Amino acid sequence: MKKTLSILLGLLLCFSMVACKRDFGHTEKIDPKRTQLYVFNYDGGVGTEWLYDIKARFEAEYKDECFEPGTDKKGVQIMIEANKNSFNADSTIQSNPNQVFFTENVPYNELVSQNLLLEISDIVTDNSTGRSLESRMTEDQQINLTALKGKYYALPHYDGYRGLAYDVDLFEDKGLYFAAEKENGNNGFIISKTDKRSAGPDGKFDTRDDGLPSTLEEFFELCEYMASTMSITPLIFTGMYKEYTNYIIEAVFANYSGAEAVKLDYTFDSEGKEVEIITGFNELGGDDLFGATPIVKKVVITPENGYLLKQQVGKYYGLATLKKILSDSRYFSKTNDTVSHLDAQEAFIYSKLENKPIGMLVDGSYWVNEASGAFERSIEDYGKRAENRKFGWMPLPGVVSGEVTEENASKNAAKDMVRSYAYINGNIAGDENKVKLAKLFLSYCYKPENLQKFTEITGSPRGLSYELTSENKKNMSDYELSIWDMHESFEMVRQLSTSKLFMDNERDLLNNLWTSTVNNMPYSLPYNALKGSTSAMDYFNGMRISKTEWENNYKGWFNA
Amino acid sequence: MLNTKNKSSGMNKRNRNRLIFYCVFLAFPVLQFCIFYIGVNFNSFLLAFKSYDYSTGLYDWVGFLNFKRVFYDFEHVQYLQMSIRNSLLLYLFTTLTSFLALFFSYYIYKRGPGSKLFQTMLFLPNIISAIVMVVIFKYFVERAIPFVWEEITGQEMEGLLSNLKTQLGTIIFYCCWTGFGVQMLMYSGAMSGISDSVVEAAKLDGATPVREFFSIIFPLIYPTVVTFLVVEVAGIFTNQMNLFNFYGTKAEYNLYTFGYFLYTKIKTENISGYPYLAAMGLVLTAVAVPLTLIIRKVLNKVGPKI
Repeated sequence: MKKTLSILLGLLLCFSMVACKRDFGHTEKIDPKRTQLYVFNYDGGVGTEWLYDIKARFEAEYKDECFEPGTDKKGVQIMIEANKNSFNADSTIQSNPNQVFFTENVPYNELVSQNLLLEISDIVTDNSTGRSLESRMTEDQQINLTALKGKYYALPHYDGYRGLAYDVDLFEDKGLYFAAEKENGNNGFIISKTDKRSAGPDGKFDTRDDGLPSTLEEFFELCEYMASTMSITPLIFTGMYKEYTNYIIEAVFANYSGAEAVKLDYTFDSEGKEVEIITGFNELGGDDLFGATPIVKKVVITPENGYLLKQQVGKYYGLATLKKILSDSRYFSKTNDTVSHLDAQEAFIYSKLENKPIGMLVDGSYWVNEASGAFERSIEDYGKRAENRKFGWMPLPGVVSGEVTEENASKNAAKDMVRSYAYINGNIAGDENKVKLAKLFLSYCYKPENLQKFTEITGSPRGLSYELTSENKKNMSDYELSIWDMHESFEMVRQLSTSKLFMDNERDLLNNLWTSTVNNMPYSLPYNALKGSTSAMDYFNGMRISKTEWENNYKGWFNA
Repeated sequence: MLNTKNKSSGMNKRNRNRLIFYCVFLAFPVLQFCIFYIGVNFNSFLLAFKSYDYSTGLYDWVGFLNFKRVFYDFEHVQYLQMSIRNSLLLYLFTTLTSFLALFFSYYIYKRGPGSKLFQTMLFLPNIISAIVMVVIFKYFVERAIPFVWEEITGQEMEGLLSNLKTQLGTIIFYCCWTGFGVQMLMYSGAMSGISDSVVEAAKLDGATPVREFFSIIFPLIYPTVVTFLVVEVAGIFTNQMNLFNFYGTKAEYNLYTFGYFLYTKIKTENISGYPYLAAMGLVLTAVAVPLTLIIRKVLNKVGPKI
């Protein structure tokens, strides 16, 4: 009896250990005649279709090559793990079976510092295709990616923009574009589709943004026109992930301040150039769009006075824009904690079909991929009416009011909040064959034709400089082309820098960009305060931090 | 004599075999305990005195720098002060719930009408997955209650979780409600262990149900009550208030508890932030350990004696 019990207990113990075996999430059956390369893809905004496309071509191209000398294996099998749940970060990479990663929210310097990534300088600088990947990067990317160890350990994956998508069909049907002729008797909006449209936020005629609001004042004129005259709800956003409302703030801030000023949140060094900050407000200013006129001062930013960046003018206008939206319940669709981003996308898609139109969606530029199911359902429900819908990306204005020309137009900057990179796991460094294969695959993914193909399939640009052919563009929707235009005309500010202050406190600084204290109540999200009685001015003032606090928070750096 | 020798050597052999069996049997859990409890905690202890250097990828000794920052933050960082308030509020309400659970348990013990149904319904939140419960609860307070309110009064109402004024109260209610079932089960279990003859004797002496509860039942299950109260004190700084289930890492500061603060910081902080969190953990332990011991001693001293 005792023996039986012992055996049973022993077996149970074995089972508990067997239960520890990880399910790696690779669904394809292993082909023992080929060499396997394990690839992780964060199956979020850009999905995984692009990777399956590359897998098929890569496997076909190298089907006769041997990657494990001394064995009879021929060809390669790309084993894909695609999900949103097993996002791998930090030390979990070390024990992860995946060898190549395409993922988001990558704490690049942290991973490099811990030697968790494989050095890939050779494939970044290789120019056998005529142009190296390094030369496709901006100067900032080159400097920041090599800041810690002087070598490359990752490649930019995709660029995601965050802000507003709009329903082009609705805008066309209802004439929601500004006319070039302001005094046309229709509040400045076009009367017929053929009317000449205003130059839009870029101040140039005959570009994709013609007719879209060029100033924040016009943006609210549009909201008012939609809500009061056209019975259209201007905006919809998720209530479950309230941080999405920050996209509006960030977009206005970036377009108002420009890339050089936005970058300062990561570099803390304006290199002698002056930056506008707010020192106070004239509350009885009178005619200002947002009720209080900021008193502006120019300062040079250094790490020692980095706390002044909390007072950047563009940040105030970002907050003021969100406050003005939230102050009028006609401007946004009712939301609550159960409305996810997918619900908001679905409601946005269905709104026009159900004759309860919503003009704009607050989301990332990749939302159309996430909403593919909702698009399919809408076609099932509404047939032809729901097919070939047209959406566009609306650059939020970076000018408060007045006439916009090419000279004073929005500064066309965007913040990269996706932090998406591709890299090779450092745990294969000792396996020469695996390293060779992983590098071959990664460089294959970044061949010029595959950069183009990636954009054609996903509608999202890679974070590099490259051209699209007319053939690529032919296969892309209007919406995807509007995103490509953003990539071409906007300067992307990435959350990387050579600043030691930033590197040492990266997440702390990033997590606290918009924190504030109003009436002794701390807030991490502006939305939570601004939807109540807190004014944008009070929230902005509450973000201010003193020199003493700054030095105390980042003591380690100042003592170094 | 010979027989005794054989017997003793036989015993030794058996003992030795048993010892080997126990050693092999326990080796794995002991090893696990050494690595994942002693090793990890010892490393955390050392980490509190270090700082991470990105350029070398190594930790350097920095003495009490992290502790200084922790104390500075306690004084100046508002959400840490909120965390103290919320952690204590949660403790207060869960303690009050404990007493409520006592009365409910007594009702179930006395087999009052519908007691089986109450028992099942109240224990249900502990059987269903926490995430599922949170989703159901969210829909209830964000959609059902405002809908009913609007139907009755004709006035719009914000969801109880969306409204900053009702958010904290709603989540504390959720924690008390979901914790109710376990306490009730434990208390009613302890009550059912009381000898029937004691209760019958009290009845024969003319004790009313209230008298029976305070003079017989409560004193006899007092050790169970003490256990719950002490465990709750020990959990003041680790209780997350289910915030992660509700909001992921994005809960607003006015909801923070220390448990949630530490958990989310670990998830969102980079490697250079760990030493600060280790220092904070040590500071909180330095408060929690004596507090727990004192509460236990006081409760054992002031409680009813049998």
